[in-house]
Amino acid sequence: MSRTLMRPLKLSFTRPAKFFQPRPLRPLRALRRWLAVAACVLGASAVQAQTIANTGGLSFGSFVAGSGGTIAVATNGGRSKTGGVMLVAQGGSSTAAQFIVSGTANATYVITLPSDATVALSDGNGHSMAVNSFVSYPSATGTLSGAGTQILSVGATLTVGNAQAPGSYTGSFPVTVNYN
Amino acid sequence: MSTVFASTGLLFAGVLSAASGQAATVSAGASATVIDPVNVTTSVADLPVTVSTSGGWVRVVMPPAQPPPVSSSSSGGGNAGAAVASPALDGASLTLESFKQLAASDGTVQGDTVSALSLLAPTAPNGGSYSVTVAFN
Repeated sequence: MSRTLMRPLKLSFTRPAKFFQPRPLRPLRALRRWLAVAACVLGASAVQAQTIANTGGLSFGSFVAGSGGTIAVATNGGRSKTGGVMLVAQGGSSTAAQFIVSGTANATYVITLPSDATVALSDGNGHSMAVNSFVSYPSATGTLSGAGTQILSVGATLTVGNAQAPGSYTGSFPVTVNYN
Repeated sequence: MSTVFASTGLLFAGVLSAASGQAATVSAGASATVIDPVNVTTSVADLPVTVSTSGGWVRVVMPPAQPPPVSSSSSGGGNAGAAVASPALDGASLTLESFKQLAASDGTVQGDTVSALSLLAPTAPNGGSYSVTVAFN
């Protein structure tokens, strides 16, 4: 017999043994893995930041104060009055404020409008008119479309004083939306 | 290891909580224009009267207890369109319901320049509705 045939086979288990050897997880590496999983879950739920943009202001239009009263602008922009106020068409018609709310598709959100006695229009000369009874459409709660947007309209009621000083009155008001 | 699980779990929950509780606020402008009308007080007997206002607005206040004369209106050709009659003048009411109550009746009309006020023939001799015509230059 040849000595060559009698030579035992040399099998090396060094690499496989090293490959299967369990290694202790390091805390940082574990944290990285779990963050990756969390990011995947977040990505699947697609929670987008909610935004609101103002695209049009609230206008009560032009009017003669007369003995005073109120002017209400509805969410469709329609205008009505009480008391001695005389509405006139000159100088632009009334408009409801317009907003675009964006965020997660089909998400519902809560609309927060200004409370009474917190908003007023001023002519810059010491005269003012209170704006109260804010209303919105949709009212109180909105639902974003499948595209993740919705148009929000806001109206309010202006209180006009007796012989209110003529002039241009301006002001501002906040509108807040919040995911349910 | 359990500490790592707990801390990452808390972090994950915090991210969800921030997303679901997120609020967005924007400020919008609001405006109104109070018009100062030109007040024209006249008696019916004195109609038509000539008034002038560069503001283009006139408020008509008719005195009470005036006999309703019958006169034709004179609506001058103008750039503000045809003369208009009650009850609506460019969206503003100008209904003079009764000469006995005209002190409280008024109206606001729109135009570039108002030059004359005239009274049309009354629709009811003793009360009722009357029309005021406002002529524009």
